[in-house]
Amino acid sequence: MSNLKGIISSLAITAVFNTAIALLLNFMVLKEPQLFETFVISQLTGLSICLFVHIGMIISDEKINKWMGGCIALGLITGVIVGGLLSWGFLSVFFGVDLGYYFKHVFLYIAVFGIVFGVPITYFFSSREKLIESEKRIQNEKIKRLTMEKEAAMITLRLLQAQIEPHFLFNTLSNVISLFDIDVAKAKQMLIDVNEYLRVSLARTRQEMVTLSQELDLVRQYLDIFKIRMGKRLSYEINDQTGRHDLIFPPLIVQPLVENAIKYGLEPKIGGGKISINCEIEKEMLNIVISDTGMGLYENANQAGIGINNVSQRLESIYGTKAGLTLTQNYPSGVKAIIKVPL
Amino acid sequence: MKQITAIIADDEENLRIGITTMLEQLWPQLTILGQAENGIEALSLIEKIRPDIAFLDIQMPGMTGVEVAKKSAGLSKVVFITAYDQYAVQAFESEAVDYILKPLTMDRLHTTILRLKNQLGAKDDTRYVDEKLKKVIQVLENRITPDYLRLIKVKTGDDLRFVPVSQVLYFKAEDKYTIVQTAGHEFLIKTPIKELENTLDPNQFWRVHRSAIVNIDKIKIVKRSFTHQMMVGFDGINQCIRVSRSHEHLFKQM
Repeated sequence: MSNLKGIISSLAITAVFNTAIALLLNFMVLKEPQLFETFVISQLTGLSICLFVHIGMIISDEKINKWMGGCIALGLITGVIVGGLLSWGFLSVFFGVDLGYYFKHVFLYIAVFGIVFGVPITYFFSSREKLIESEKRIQNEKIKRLTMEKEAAMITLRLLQAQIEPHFLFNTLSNVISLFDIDVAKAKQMLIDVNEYLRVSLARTRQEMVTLSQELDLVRQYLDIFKIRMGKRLSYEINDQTGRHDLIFPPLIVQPLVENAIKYGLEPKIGGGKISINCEIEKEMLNIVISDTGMGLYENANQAGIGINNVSQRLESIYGTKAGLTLTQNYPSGVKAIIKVPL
Repeated sequence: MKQITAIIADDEENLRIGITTMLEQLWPQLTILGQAENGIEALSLIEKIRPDIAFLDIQMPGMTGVEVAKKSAGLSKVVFITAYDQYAVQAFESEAVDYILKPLTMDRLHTTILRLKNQLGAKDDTRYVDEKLKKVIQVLENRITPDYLRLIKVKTGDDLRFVPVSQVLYFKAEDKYTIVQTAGHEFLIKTPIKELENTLDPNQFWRVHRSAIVNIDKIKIVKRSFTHQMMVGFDGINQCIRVSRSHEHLFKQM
């Protein structure tokens, strides 16, 4: 409906323009004034241009800017041709003008005037539209920038909270207490691991970037804590094939995915399983693959999705669209998360 | 005097040993007949040996402690063991069934033992305790907060992929399928738009058309086309989505 309204209103505006053009041509350009013919031909040509430009714009509506220019130009040319043919129809019915004469003496004028007036008028319409559009765009950008900064801070906070989540802490401490009765050396080691893990995790609140090897160290500590808790139900391997110790990498990307693998993959699985982390450089991209042999994502997908969405949003706020997080099914079981970031 | 028996269920071995050691010290008369390392084992153990008391960890593989208690209702008295879990704590604090928080302390366990001894001594309150247990289980089962769809399962060839909803630009109905559009990919799923609308977070995803839902975090521009049709454009893609007239008000404040 709003389409139709728009078309009718611009057809009306075009008709006013057409009348002005007809008067202009009649009194200022043509040697022998023929007001009726000039008026009718001007309306036919002008309205047909307007109609076809509209059709062109409707077709290009679904795309932004890319096809717009082409569709408008095509609409303009089609409009001129159709307008020319309609004008000939009019002339032949009312004045018996034949096609040969028409093409020789009239069509060229219609085409030239159609384009001479059609281009600026079309431009007038579309630039008025663009003006409104660009004002909106600037406003949106402002809102977006402000909300994005807030958003990024929120995501970081949520990820940090997840890293030292109370459930994890209390379960781990209760293991330490039990271990003092079973194996004091192991209990001590676990306390050292927990202490180190907490120290590094909390330090992360003040760091924008760390190195990949620092991040992997943290993950190793985290997994070692779980290895004591889960015993033979958990095994893990970390392969860093990048061969570089200075690779800059953001914190809170790998660890939340490893946490997910444990919490939703291996802990709920009776036999437990294995987590593998592989890092390699390929075509100027750093690829990190975190795979587990756990339960896979089924009923727990929405819970597990919280951390995954946070990581994905965090990657985007740091790298834009150049980085990516892909999650697939792992074979024969579990989940595989693939992180790709530009070097 | 009749011997009092118990079983202990926890997926972490250290914790099973830990509670066993503490119980041996505080209540030497108690006979621990078995240990289970997952929910399924726990249930079959309870059904087989019918202990007086079952110490059940809540989060266990196979079956949660809550499910075990529900399925074995009436067979044993239940003491739940849980690490920090605010919902669980709320549930227990209002009811008589006992719970212990990890890490366990001697004092707390001692209180639990006294309560258990009282309950086992009294003859007629089993039904009363069972009622309480049922209530606690109900609270624990209903604690699920409104859970939005966060990962979309899509098939690409033989692979199953999970697309985080935050990566989705828009959903669009197309014939019998729904297009899931991200910045780099287009996936097809069978879930209809209407069903998706009910499961997505309404603060992030807006229905803008009979056949389209958009992720408002990903909108780059809201424009009116030459023909006054309101359209939304997205980051990283040329395709726009039409906003139907009845949904235009959603963007009026922008």
